[in-house]
Amino acid sequence: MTSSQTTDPNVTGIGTSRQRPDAVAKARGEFEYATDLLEKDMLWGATRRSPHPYARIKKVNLNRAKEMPGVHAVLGAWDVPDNRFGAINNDQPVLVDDYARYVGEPIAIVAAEDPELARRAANAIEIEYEPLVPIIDPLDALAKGKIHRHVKYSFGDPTVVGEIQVEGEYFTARQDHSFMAPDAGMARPDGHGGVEIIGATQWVHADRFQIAASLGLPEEKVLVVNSGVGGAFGGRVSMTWQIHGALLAMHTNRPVKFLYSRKEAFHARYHRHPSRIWIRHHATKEGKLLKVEAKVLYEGGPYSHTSAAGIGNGCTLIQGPYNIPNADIEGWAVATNNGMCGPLRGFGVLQGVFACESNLDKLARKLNMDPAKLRAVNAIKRGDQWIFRQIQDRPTPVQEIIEKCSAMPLPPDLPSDEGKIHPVHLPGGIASPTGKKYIKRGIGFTSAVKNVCLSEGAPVNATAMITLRDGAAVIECAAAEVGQGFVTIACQIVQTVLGISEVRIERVDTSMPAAATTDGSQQTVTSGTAVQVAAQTLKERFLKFVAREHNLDVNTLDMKDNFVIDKTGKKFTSIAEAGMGLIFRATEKFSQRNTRPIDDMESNDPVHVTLGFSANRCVVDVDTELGLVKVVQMDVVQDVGRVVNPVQAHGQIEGGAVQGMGLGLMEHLKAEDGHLLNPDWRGYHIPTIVDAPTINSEFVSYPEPGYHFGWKGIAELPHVQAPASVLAALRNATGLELPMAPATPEYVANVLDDNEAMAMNVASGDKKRGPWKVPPPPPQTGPWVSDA
Amino acid sequence: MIIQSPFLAVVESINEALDTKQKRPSSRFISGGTEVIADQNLGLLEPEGYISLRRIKELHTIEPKSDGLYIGAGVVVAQLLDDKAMAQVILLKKAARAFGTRQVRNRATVGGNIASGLPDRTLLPCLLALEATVHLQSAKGKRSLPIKDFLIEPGKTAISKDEILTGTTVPYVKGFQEYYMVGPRNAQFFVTACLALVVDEANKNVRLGLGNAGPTAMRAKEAEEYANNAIDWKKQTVDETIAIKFGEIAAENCSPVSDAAASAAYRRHAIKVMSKRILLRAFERKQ
Repeated sequence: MTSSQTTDPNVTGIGTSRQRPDAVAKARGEFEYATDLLEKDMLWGATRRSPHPYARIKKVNLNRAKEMPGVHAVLGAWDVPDNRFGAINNDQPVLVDDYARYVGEPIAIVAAEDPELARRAANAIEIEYEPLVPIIDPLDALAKGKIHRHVKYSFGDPTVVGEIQVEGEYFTARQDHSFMAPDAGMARPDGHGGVEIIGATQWVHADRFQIAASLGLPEEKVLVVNSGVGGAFGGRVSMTWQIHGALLAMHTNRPVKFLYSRKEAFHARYHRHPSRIWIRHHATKEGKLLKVEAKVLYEGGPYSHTSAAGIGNGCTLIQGPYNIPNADIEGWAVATNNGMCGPLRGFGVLQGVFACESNLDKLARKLNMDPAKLRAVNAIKRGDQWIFRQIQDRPTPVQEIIEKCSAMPLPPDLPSDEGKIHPVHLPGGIASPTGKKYIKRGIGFTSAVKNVCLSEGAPVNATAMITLRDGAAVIECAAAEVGQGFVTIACQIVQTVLGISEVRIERVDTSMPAAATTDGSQQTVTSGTAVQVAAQTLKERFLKFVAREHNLDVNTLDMKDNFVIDKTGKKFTSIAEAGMGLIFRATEKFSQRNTRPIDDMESNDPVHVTLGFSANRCVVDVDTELGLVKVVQMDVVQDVGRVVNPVQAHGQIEGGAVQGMGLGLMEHLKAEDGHLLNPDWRGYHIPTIVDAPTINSEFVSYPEPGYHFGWKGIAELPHVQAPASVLAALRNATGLELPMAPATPEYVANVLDDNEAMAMNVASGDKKRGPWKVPPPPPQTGPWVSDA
Repeated sequence: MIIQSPFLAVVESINEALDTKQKRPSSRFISGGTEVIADQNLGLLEPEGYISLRRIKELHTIEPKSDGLYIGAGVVVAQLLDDKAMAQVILLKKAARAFGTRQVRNRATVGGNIASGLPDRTLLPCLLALEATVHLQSAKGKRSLPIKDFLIEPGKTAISKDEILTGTTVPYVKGFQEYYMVGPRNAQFFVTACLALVVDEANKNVRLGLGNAGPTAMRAKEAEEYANNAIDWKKQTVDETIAIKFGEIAAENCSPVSDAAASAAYRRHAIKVMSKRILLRAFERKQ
């Protein structure tokens, strides 16, 4: 299905491309991002950060900063009522008190009259450090037992040996979210002893919980408002300035604005976990998979944050969308001092899928088998068991997706007349030294699986309230809009259920009941379902009222095109009039099914709520001598359940594919001795529109049971598989192994300094090879379980 | 409110600029600001204030003269693409198209690109290959020097604190001119490595300028010397072995750095391959 790529502000209901309410403002540059927030009498916040990856703090003297005229507050660790917070475990200081554990960790904060003064005051704070030796290599962290979580499980008969065995070690780099709007926002006292936090976030309620706890306030005293989000991609799950802003606003009794520079944001952000994965597939000569073995190592930051959930995702979905009867899996998320790691689109799954798909590439080469065919014959089907002891009990069109994707038309060859090729279509772009005779074309094929919703026992639910008056509805649901499209999706759902065109959604804050976090592709299936259920209840209430007022049988009534209609479709009266000026309201909560941690052997709950599938065929043109690449085309087929907004659905796939391609080709935040080497957009590159390929996306729609409209989350899958797909195409063009994403020009051209050849994601550049020695038993810390 | 903003003096003549500079010696000249403001925002420099050169009309001219094309320091890169006179120096026009984004090209000036003195700047290898002259002016007077003597080390040039770079004169050279670059993606980047080749048909020599292949932009003298002797100037041909050797010599004699973008080995490799290809290209067109 290819559909028009234009949106319309006037279309209504599920299946239409309703335009985002902020579309025009954003296109014109009039949208107010959190970075633009201004307030009368506001102060500017600044943060003093650790220059050391690991150091003991011997002394902090705030006095010189406090004495500067125009400085209103200078706070250190002892000013924080409860100085330990965290997304899951409270193991992270708000401001460093004893040890600084990564470069950029906040030590002290300042509020001053202007940003420059705040910055100078922060610099004037005197801090004495005792630098210590940081752990910069995840293998060292593993050997030293610095483990956030250890996962170990097997399935079927782990002693099975296949006729064909293929193994490899694969790496993915530290990826930054690089959203356009850097961390920014406003904290202001509410005048009643509480504080308001206005800024960009993915989950207002989780922010409130952490802010209130750190400030020693009841949650009611903290209002978190989601405002002006300029991209999130998982990055805004992690708190940066929010608690600092709240502290300074409470101390100064003035509004305090934070605005990070790009460089500061790079240091403060929680990046994608770099991975190092050894994997071995066992198969028959015919290519039927028999067993998967893997050792999965994710480099987390010094504090646990969400690392436990990330390694859980990786250790399960490393299976890929394939039926594999036997498995032996072990994984660790370890603590290093290279900076914090946290969620990024395709959290934890991308790394596992990259290793799985790369190794299947190798298997296809060894069997001399078409990579799409290898995947199709192993496609998981409904009723099959996952290796993590879960029945695949929902529609599973994996084989169909693979076959559909490989049947899509390939792009034409480069024209033979070189003069007809615009240089932006060539590897390297304008002024590239390439030419047709230097270019080889490669084709790669991958398929992928991604969990929809948070997994392993994390509660996933949402509450929505809908109010109908005079034929128009207002939705209140605390699901954070971060660009993914919930603001239109929710309105379209209510339009369809209530048969009305005027629907609006309120700004999100913590005065509303909690919704799900914008995470794990779960907002439509969770908060969207809550909206649908609330709308359904509201519809029943409304029609009951109409039936009673007009002495009609409620079962004969329906709502459509802004009218109450009868069974024959005859318009009875307009919904606006039928309501008689009264207010109708419904509030409903929707909860996803329960899940269990991987190692919970008692429960029969699934590990993942549900799973989404897709396939991606990538075509690249490569100047193999110089390692320059132009991704020509990506063909994506995805299982989407039901398309709510076609343009947004295609947009998610295109955006995700390009972001994933970034990790496949260029995105690598490097660290050396714990210091980031390229923490800005001069040195850290994300794809431009010139780099973006033609993307053809098609959908496969099988209604997902458990949801009235049968939808499924889609946002992460295109990103999850794109790096694997790009690398598969590059391997096809170059014949190289390319075990590392990103494959920068030096890897593609296979020109590496000896000492840098294996520098990979680990800063130390060691060449130790896996599978690695099993470390001492880890502490018993399950995911989502608080570890005191 | 405490105002600590640096002052901004908008001047309309070179003399006024020099006067202001004498009065406020720790201030900084600024024109497009694409580099200076970014550096200021990163906290790399904290000048007392800025003297804006943007309103000085004489810095904005592109003028054909007998000894070459005069390009004022205030000319923005977009002008290099549009100005008719640039047809006489096709290399700069090609390089200008590869320069940054449209927004940056509309703002960044030729003078700023030269005065930065950094090895990865677009125009420097081109000006080296063209053997351009740069013009400086201070209260004491004017002076001109070849671009090769202007570049000293990364970020350091022959310009003294009280001098303004007023422009550059680019000699007309008849023959093939081309600019090649490689980078981490396909648009808008600081070059990983770049080079510019000028074939001087009248004097029967080639000149190769290299960018990001050493501490400053540089000429590949050894490779040029080899090529000048090896090229069959009568037939106007170069066979592949000569081009390969040309690239190898250029690569051997440069000294690129390793950084987050690429290793020294890759930069050297890119210089080798690009030099080979550009020389082949220069002479294949003749056939």
